[in-house]
Order: sequence, then C-alpha cells, then structure tokens
Amino acid sequence: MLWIVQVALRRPYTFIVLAIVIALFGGLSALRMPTDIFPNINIPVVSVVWTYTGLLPSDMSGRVIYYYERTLSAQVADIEHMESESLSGYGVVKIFFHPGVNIASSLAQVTAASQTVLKLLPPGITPPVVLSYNASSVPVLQLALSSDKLPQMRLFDYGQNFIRPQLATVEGSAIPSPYGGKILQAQVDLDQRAMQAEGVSAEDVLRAISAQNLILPAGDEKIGDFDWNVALNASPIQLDHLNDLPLKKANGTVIYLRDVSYVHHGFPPQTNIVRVDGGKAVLMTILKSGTASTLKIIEGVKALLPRIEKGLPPSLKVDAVGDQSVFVKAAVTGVIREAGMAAALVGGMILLFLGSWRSTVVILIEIPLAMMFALTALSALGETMNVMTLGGLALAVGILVDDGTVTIENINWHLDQGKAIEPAILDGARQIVVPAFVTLLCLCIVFVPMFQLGGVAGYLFRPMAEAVVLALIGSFTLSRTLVPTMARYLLAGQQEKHAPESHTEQQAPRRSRNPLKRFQQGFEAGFEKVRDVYRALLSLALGHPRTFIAGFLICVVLSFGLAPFLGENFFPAVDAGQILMHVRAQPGTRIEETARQCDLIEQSVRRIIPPDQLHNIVDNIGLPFSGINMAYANTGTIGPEDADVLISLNANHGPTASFVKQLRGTLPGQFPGTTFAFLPADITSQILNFGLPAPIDVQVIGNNEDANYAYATDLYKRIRRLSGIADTRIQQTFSYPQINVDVDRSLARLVGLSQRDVADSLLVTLSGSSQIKPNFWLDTRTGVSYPIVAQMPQYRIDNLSDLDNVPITSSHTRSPQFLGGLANIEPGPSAGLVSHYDVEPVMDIYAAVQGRDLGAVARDVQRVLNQTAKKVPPGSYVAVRGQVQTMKTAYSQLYFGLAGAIVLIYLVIVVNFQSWTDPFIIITALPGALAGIVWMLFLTGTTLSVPALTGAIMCMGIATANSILLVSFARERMGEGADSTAAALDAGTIRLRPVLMTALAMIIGMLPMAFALGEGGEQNAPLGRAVIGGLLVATIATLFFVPSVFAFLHRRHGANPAETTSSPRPTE
Amino acid sequence: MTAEARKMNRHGDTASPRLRRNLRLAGVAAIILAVGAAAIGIVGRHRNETQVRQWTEKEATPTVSTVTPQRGPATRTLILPGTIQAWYEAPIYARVDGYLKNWYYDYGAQVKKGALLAEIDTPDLDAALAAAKGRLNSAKSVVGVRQAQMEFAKTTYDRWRGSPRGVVSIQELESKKADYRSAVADLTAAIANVTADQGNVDRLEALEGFKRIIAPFDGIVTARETDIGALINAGSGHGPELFRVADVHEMRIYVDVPQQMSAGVKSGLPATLHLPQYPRKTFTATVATTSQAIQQASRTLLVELHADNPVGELQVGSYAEVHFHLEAGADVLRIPTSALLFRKGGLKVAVLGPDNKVELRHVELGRDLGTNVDVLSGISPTDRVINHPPDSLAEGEIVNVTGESHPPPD
Repeated sequence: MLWIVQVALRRPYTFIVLAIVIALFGGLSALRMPTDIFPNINIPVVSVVWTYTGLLPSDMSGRVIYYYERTLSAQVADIEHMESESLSGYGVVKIFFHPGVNIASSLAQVTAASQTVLKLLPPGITPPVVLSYNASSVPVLQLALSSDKLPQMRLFDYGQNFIRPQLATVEGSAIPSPYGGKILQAQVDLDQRAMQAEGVSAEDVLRAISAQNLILPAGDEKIGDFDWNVALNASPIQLDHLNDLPLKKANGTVIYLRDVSYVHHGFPPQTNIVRVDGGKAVLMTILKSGTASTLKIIEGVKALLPRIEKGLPPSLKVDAVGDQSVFVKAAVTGVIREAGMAAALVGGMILLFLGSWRSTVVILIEIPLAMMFALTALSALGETMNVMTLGGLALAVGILVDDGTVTIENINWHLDQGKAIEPAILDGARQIVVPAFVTLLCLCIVFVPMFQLGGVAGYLFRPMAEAVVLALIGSFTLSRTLVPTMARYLLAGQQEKHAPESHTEQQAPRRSRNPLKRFQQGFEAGFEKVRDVYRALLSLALGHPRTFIAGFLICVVLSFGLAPFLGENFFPAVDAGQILMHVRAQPGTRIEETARQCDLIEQSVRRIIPPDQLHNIVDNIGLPFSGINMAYANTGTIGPEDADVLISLNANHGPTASFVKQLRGTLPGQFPGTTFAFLPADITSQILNFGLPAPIDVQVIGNNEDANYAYATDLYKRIRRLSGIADTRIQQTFSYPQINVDVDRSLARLVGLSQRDVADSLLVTLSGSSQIKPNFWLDTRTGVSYPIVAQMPQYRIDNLSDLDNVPITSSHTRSPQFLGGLANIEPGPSAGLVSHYDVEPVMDIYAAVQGRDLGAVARDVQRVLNQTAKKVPPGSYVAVRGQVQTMKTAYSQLYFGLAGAIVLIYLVIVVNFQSWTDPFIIITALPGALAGIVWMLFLTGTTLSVPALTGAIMCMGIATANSILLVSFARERMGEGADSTAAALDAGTIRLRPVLMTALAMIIGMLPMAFALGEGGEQNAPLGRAVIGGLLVATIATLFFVPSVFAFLHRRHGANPAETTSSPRPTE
Repeated sequence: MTAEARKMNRHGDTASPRLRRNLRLAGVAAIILAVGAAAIGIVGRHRNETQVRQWTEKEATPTVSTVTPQRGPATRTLILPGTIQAWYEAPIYARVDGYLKNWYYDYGAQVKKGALLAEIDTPDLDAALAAAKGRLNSAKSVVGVRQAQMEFAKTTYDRWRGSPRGVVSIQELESKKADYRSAVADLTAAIANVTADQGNVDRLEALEGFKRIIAPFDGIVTARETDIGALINAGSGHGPELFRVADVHEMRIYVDVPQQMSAGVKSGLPATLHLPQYPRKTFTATVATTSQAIQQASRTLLVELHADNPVGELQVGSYAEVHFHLEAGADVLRIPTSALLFRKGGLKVAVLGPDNKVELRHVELGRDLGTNVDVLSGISPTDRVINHPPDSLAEGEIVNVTGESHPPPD
C-alpha cells in the first residue's frame, strides 16, 4: 500500500486535484441531497378502506372485512401481517408486507382481491380505496382553514374540492380529506310531521327524486342542414328547483317535494369537529409519502399557497400549523453544529498536542474532505441527509482525527529524528499503514452487525453505520494520499525551522515566541510530568500483576452490577414541544357533548400550562368524514366520543414530560368516565411507534369474544396497577349504546309490510339515502357534483318516540304504519370497534410508561401475563406488540451484534498478529470499556437504548484500536529482547501520547453530541455518552490493564521470546 | 517473572513511597466516590421507583362522580299522529233542482241555526205549484156546481114525493129519487177532488221551502261548493255538497293506536295536542272513548279524544301529534342515561356502597326520555349511582368519588 504514498509524493497534483474533486462533489451532494429527519423507513403498508354508511361495526367486520381478509390471505403474496379495524360505516384493512417486497405487484394483487369479493358483499357497497404508504408517512404540515364570514360547510368544500386537488401536485405529498367542517351536499330535509300528514314515506321521496332528477342524455336530431343537440331538463340547474319536483297526486292536487321536505345546500350530520384555539376550523393534513424529503414537500406546499389563495374568497384564512420543517431544520442544523463544534474542539486539542499549526491545518483540511467523500458516497447510495447520517458523520469526526493525527504525528516524529521530509513521510507512512488498516478493519467490522438490524431500528441505524464506514474509508484513503502531499508542502517549512532543535522523540522545550507557543510549552512540561506519574503507576501495577489484574476485574464485574439499574428504553424520549392527548368520553357520547367536554378539558389544560408557553390547542373531535383519513390516522379514534387534542408549546416551554405528568395526574380526576392517553406527538416518536397509539400493546387474540373480553378486562385491571404504567386502556369497547329495533315480522306481514320496507325507511330516516340510492346534482358553475341525500334532520328525531313514529309505507298499504307499532324497541350494548389481527378478532390493551423505563414495565407486564396464563380462554393467545416487541428484537440483535463485534475483532487481529494470545490481550480492554459505558449511563441517568447500544458497539472498535497500538509496540520491544514487563512499561510510556490523543479526540468529538444541544438531540445523546464513558475507562484499561495482562501472560517468555514475532510494524 | 522485571518493580516500589501513599489515598477516595455515587444513584432510583409506584397506584384507582336518582314524573308519554274532526259536521245538499239564486255565507262564516245560507231559483217548481193551485180552484168550483145540482134534484124529488098519489106516477117519482142520489154522490166526489188538489198544492209549497238553504246547527261554514247560477240537482248523488257546516266549539280527535301500545289508553286519559302550525303551543284533550276493537286491516285501535276549541284554533282535518299522558308506576326513579352500563346480559347501573365499593345492579327501564331515563326497578332513591361509569368498572371495585351532580332537568 506504500506505492500510493510514493505516488502522492512524486505526483502531488494528482491528489490535490482529487481533493478538489471531492470538495466539489461533496458540496454538490450536500446541496442536492434531500434533507429529512430520518432515513426513509421503507416498510411497505397497503391500506384498504371500505365504506358503507351506517353499517354497524360488527356487521362491517362480519359481512365485509372477514370476507376480504380471507381473500387477501389467499391471493396476495409476501404479507407480513394484516390488521383491520371495523368501525361504524368504515372498515380499514392494513396489510404489512415483508421489507423489500415489490410493492407495485402487491398493490395490484390487493386491488384485484377487492374486486373479487365485491359481489359477495352487501349490495350497494362501492369498491374500496386502496392506499400505499410506508412508516415514514407522517403528517408534516397542517393547513387550518378558518373564516369569520363563510360557513363551515363552505370551508370544507374549499378544502376538499379546490385546495386539495391543487396541492396533490406537490411531489411526495399525500393529502387525505380535510378534518372538521361540514360537508357540502344537496340535502333533502325530510319533515316527519308533514310526511305523516300527507301519508308519504321516505321511500316515496327517494323514488320521486330518482324518477325526476335524471342524468340521462337525450341525443341529437338532424334538421335541415344542422345536426342539433337535444338537451332535456333532466336535472335542474338550480338546486332550489328540486323543491318543485312533484311527489304524488292526491285528491286531484299534486304534492310537491317542498310540501314534505326542504331541498337546500346543506350538510350531513357532523361527525368531525376541528377547533383551533376554540374557533371552528377545517384542518388539512399533509402527509409525507414516497421518497421526497419533508423539507421539499413543505416548501412545495408553501410555494403553491399564494396562488391557491388568489382563487379563494378573501375572507378565507389559510394558516400553516404543525410545520415539521422547523423541527427538521433545527435537528439537522443541530447535528451539523455538533459536528462543527467537535471538529473545532478536536482541532484545538491537536494543536495542543502537536504544538504545530501546520499539522493542525493538514488535519483540519482532511476531516471535511473525508466527510465530503462520505456525503458523496451516501448520496450515490440513495441516502438522505438526516439526523442519522449526519450523526454518523459527527460520530466519525473523532475517528477521522485519529487517523490523520497518527499519520502526522508519526511523520513529525520521524522529522524530529532528523530525517529529510520525504524519507520521514515514507517511513512514517510505512510504519503506520498496517495498524491503521487493522484499525479501519476493526471499526468497519464493528458496524457489520448494524447492517443486520431488523425493523425500524435497522432502517434508522444502517445509514448511520454507512456514514461512519464511508467516512472512515475516505479518511483512510486521504491519510495515505492527501496527507503526505500536504505534509510535503507544509511540514517541509516547519522542518527547516525546528529540525535542529529537536532531539528527543517529541519536541524539546523551545524559546517562546508567542503566548500560544508558551502555553504549548507549558502543556508539554505538564504532559511530561503526567508521563512520569503514569510510568510510576504502571510500574507499580506491573509489580503486582495478580493483585492489579484481579482488582481491576473485580471492579469491572462490580460495575456490571449497576447495569440492571440503568433501565431499558427503545429510543430516548425527544422533547419536541408538542403534546398529543387522546380523549375518550363514555362510549357513544354524541359529538356535541364531546366537544363541550373538550372545552372544559382545554380550560384545565390552560390552567396547567402557563399561557406564555402555550402556542395553540387544536381539537380534532370524532371520526373524519372520509375513510382515507382513517387509514392514515393512528390515534385510535373510533367514534364521536373520541377527540385528539394537540397542544403545541412555544419555544420557551418547560419540559413537556412534566406537563404530561401533571395532566395525567389532574384530568382523570376532573373528568370521571373519560379516559386520557398521551400519544407520541413529534415526528420522531410517530415514526418509531409506527401505526400504534401506544408503546405497549397487549393483544388478546382469539374467536371467543366474550371470554376474551372478560380476560382482557381482568388483564387490564392488573396491568393498570403496575408501577410506572400510564394511559392504560382497552381500545375495543363493547358497551357502545345501541337501540335494538326488533320488528315483529308476522305483524308487519299482516299489515302488508316487509322487513325491507322497514329497513329502507329506517335507513333514510337515520343515515340518509346516499348509500342505497345515490343521486347527484351538478353545480354547473363550479363543476362539482354533490350527492343528493334525503334524510331526517337529526334535530327532528331526538327521542325514542320519534323513532316510534317513523312512518313505514309500501306500495301495498294505503295509510302508513309506524315503527313503534311494528317493533319492540329496546336499548342494549354493542361493539364500538371490531379489530382483527391476521383474520382473528383481537382486543388491544394499550399502555404507556410514566417515570419508569419501558424495559422494566414490559417485564412487569410479562410477569402479569405469566401469572394469568392459566386464565387465557382456550383457543386464544396473548401477544405483546408495539414498541416493546420491536425493542426486544432490536436489543437481542444488538447484544448479539456486540458479542459478534468482539469475536470478529478478535479474529481480525489474530490474522494480523498471527497469534492467539496477543489479540486476546488486546481485547481484554473491552470489559473495561463496557464497565465505563455502564458507569457513564448510570451517572448521567441515561437508560439503555438503541443509540446507547450502538455507541457501545462503536466503542469496542475504538478501544481495540488503541489497544492494538500498545500491544504491537510491546511485541516489538520483546522482539528486540526486552522482558515482558519492561516491554509493557516502555510500550505504555511511549504510546501514552498517541493513545491519549486518540481517546481525547474521540471523547471531545463526542462531547457536543453527549450534551444533546440541538433540537431533538436527545435522540443520539446516549450514543455520545456511551462512547465517552466507554473510552474513558477503556483508555485506563489500555494504559494499565492491557500492559499488565501482557506482562503477566508473557512472563514466561522473559527476555528471549520463544515465538518469533512477525511484528506488523517494522521498527527502525 | 524475570529478575530484571523484579528489579524494575522494586525500583518502582521503592522509588516513590509518596506516590504509593498518594495512590492508596486516591484509591480509597476513588472507591468511596464510586460506592457513594452508586449508592446515591441506586437510592435515588429506588426512591423514584417508589414514587412512581405510589403515583401509579393513585392513578389506577378510577375516579367517579355520582348522582342521586330523582323521583320520576307520574306519567309517561306516548306520541302518535291523529286527525282532528269537528264536533258535528254536516255536508249540505239541495232537495230541489234548480239554479242557485243567491248565497249569503261564505267560507269560514259563523252561522246560527236556521240562518239562510242560500236560495235556489226553481221556475219549474213554481209553475207546478201554480198549476196545482188552479186545479184546486177548479175543483172547488166543481163542488159549487155539484151542490146546486144536488139541491135542485132534492127539491124536485121532494116536490114529486109530496104530490098526491096518482097525480104522479111511481115511475116518475123513482126517477127523481135516483137523480137526487146521483147528485149527492157527484158532490162528494167533487169535494174529494178538492182535498186531493189541496194536498198537491201543499206538497209543492213545502218544496218551495227548500229553495231556502238553512244552517242545521250553530257552526262554521267550512265549504261552499256552489255559486250563483249553478245548476242544482237534488240529492247527494250528483256532485259535491253545496255547503259544509261544522260545529267546532269542541273537537273530536281520532287516533289509530297500534295494538302494541294500546294497553293504557282508556277513556278519561289526558293528552296534549301538538299542531305543526302552532309549534310553541299545546292543546289539552281527553280520551272520550275507544272503538274497543282492533281494526283488522291495520291492527290499530281507534281512539276518540275531545278537545275544547274556544278560539277556533283547532281546525277540522288538521294533523295533530297527540301526546298521551299514560300513568307511570308509582315509584319510578329517574337517572341520567349516561349512568347506564351497557353490558351483555342486560342493562345495569353501578351503585356506590358505603365504603366506596362498587355494586352492579340490574335495572328495568321505563321509557327512555333522551337525556334521562326512567328506572322502574333496581335502585332506590337514596342510592349513589355512578354517573359516566368507566367501561371496565367491576363489582367490588373500590373507587374515588369526586362530586355529586343532579340529573339535568329536561
């Protein structure tokens, strides 16, 4: 590998040009790469949304979803699992595929399956909406439409029919129907009294509308020279004219539609209310889909807005809320700042150690170039610029420095030996190239297990590992090429000035020329003292090797005793200044009442959060109008009793978690019967929680619904009492109030009516005609077709007697009958939500944690499950899913990765040293590193988490690198004839400076990350802390423990080592 | 260990006893520091865990609010559609053919009994009367002629009978007698003719009376289906009535009560009427009678109610929503609907025991009234009923209580 150094020296322009090229491409990539919070998490999901207005959840599940799910399992390949939710009027099936599936063909299969079952489903059902998205599809921006002049239905209309289609052109955006507002439609308000007075049933009205409002072409007629189009007044142009449609003839007079109803621009009963700070509004959510970056989508939307606004009435206000780009930008700049700070700190440190600004300049040029190289390569690999890749680069800063520093330092050392510049560079490079390569290999190998990570964690950490490895490769290459080239130019000048003065292995004291130099000289003197003390201490340790080794091991083992106190989380919590509270009032609470409760809840919230910290509160109450929203939303809303309250805090806010704790403590006591749950609000946790409203999801799966519910309730009560658990709730409710209308079929038959007449009349009365007799009216001015829906206004039918009095007619009966006369009407319970998991009914107990780590709570939950294992109804089983499951998998993969990393490192150095013993000596530094990690996490109160474990794995690589330097030096000394103790002592003393430099570079480089300075920096702080803690102790282990072990294990070899060392580092 | 190494170690050992002392001190300090830090960390974590456990315990106990059942109203309401009819209502037809000469009352007019509503022009009837009268006069004249003839025959006969025998022949005498008898019979016939003609005249004169159409009772003209000059045919077979008069001082309301709901409907039951045209007004009515038979075609019971109509707001033929006030059970209690537990196996409510222990009770519901519900049995007026019970609430669970509210009045 030395030839490349020679090339560098002989043809210096080559690598200067290379550097310029890297800088150019790197800069270009940095500008071009999509910027996002996280790497693209490409876990493909297809959602299928069935809609049938008014169908009860149990019927939706039994008559639609089951059929469909069975068909899916037969016709669609590569399904990982399937989940479905059946709500009143909606059925949502989510199909999760194995990663790497060809989503286009899966989508085609899913669509084909829905066509297959269509004929088997209830008559009049329309084909479902099929949506494909992935785990990163989260809301990135919301547009709140409000107006002081326009009614709510106009707001919705503008959102749905004018703004949405225009925004859909923004690349990567997915926009479901607006939330809230009222849906504009041609409403036929039936008047029950008038209908009874006229003897007209709802069915008659519908028949009249479909007979009179036609969408049929007339044709053309050829008259004379022309071919005339013939237009028929089949459908009225003015909506009001529908009022004048004749309904029937009675006693010589014609009864018109207006006599029994009123046709107008109206809205169906509101099922979804959105309020921004108490004012009614319409909310449009823009989700990220596909691979476009969050920032691009938001920019695109914001760029389009002014044009759209021009087409809207001036009184319509469009406000952008919940803009995630702010957070993304802050997070990304935070990481960049961290990297910059790390580079600056490390630069300062190098200046201090090397005492040469020229060397420092060389390194400070090399580091950014290595990063540029990594960026270019990442961009070529299709990665985005995000917290993980940038974090990886920040992480790499320390290692990059190390690589460059070792090279420069070695060149300096050779220069100090009085060599000319070129031989010094060549010798320095030769001496360093193999250890550096081994180090590189070790570090890269350490990241191999990261590529095995599955699930969300894998998608997140793979790009990070890629970034680190690429930066290292870049740095290694540059250290062999650019560094010698630059050294040749820069250090040559330095040599001329200092060479005569240098006689020791490092710079001797010089005359001070400026304060910096003086300071540096002081530092050198100090360092010498440290080295003396170190030498004394090391010889002390070497004097009592057994005591020291045993003592050190005991300390390490004892330190591991702290590990159980650390606690385990999947990812550290991020404080993004948002609280998403899910409120569920008593099942079946009507939306108006839920809205009233939300008012009161908002007041309580405002009492707890100081007004100067509160930005705004957005309520989203009830089920959205469109099933598409159901597919995207994962807050667990199942009916009018549910509300999502999104509380956004100002930048100066106190810790969000403490507000959440206060709210958890206060609200349930103030609102008995209402459950509160705090869901992940920020983009990070939403992505990590992927599709679930809670980190813990205990599922009871099986067909025996009653027994399962009883068991789930029992389980719920036990889980609720577990320490540190919060927001425990059963998602499925079976106590949704229902009015059972039990028609006496014989009696109905006797009076000439059939069940169908009753059903039709009820449907029109209670849910409108849109499902069974769709009819449309075209607004010719705007080109929007509105459904004509005949329905009893809800205010006209608000007690049981009104239901009793629903008139029921058929063509066989002259005077109408009344429902109450034909049927027995009684209240009873019903299911508010039916969920399936892999085509089996499932009940979910959701829970979150408060004040305790997820791992401990999960263990307690598991204990409860074990205790109650005997009570599980036969044929059913219990599963714990959600973050807990993902965490368990990720942890086992990471622990395995940690062990694997150690083994792989060992094997690599065995190859390098051609010995079994020395690599073992080298890796004896690793338990110390682990102990250091435990201590650091313990002292900083950081729980274990995926980033912390990643840090631990990374730490293994760096700790080994230092250890290798030391042991290989000691082997050299032994090869020269020193006894093991002397060799160890010399190795320690002489390698002290590079070891300390490497370790300090890493530690200082990690400091900004460990302090979590940037927005969302909490995410990677444990990584930094783990690396710092691990390195601190690993350095001590490298400097004391490893030499001791070396001396101890090689004690028999004495001054004449039996084995011929094939030292990788030729000595001079 | 080699000798050199040992030497070196000794060198290390002996060279710096101060270092060793410092080292020992540092070691002890480090151990104390480490143990201290570990202890503080562990104790802190333990304390935190205890706090969390207490917090969870506190949070795990559900908080509920309670309500006290209120006495329910004595009645429950049954709402059905009905039709309003007049107390009396008569369609008025003509008895005579003719043309309408004039009418005097229009729609909505108040009329007294016997008031002239209209007159009919009947020229043919008038002519017939005149003819009959003529015939009567002529018959009367015939009686005079017959009388004179009879008297003449009598005198002739008397004269002949009084003549001495032989002066007149027996034959002649018998002939005169016969003449006399015949004259008497003619007279009688003529008199009879007069009576007959008189009868005819009387009949026609009575028909003349029907030319005047008269109100049969006090009431309102609800229909006038004719006009001046209209051809009038006698009887109800042809065309609409001329007038319709309704007595609306009190109204009759007819309701078809479905068989299923007919149990409590008896005469004397109070009811209120709601009319679409008076949305804010109600009218009282009382069930007068029922048909006591279910109509087979529609399986309904016809119920008749009476309602006073002093101002005339109730109008004939109106649709009315009839709210029957049925008697409810004596000890009906009323709780908010939100206190009901909808569970499989019947409706329940959760009642709070003395030590805040939950007790689940089956309840039998009366009629659901919307916000509140009538409970027929299962709870007592002193019970503390949990309002908005949590879904998972179970028998024997101990709960916290925040406050008591009363069901909202409806």
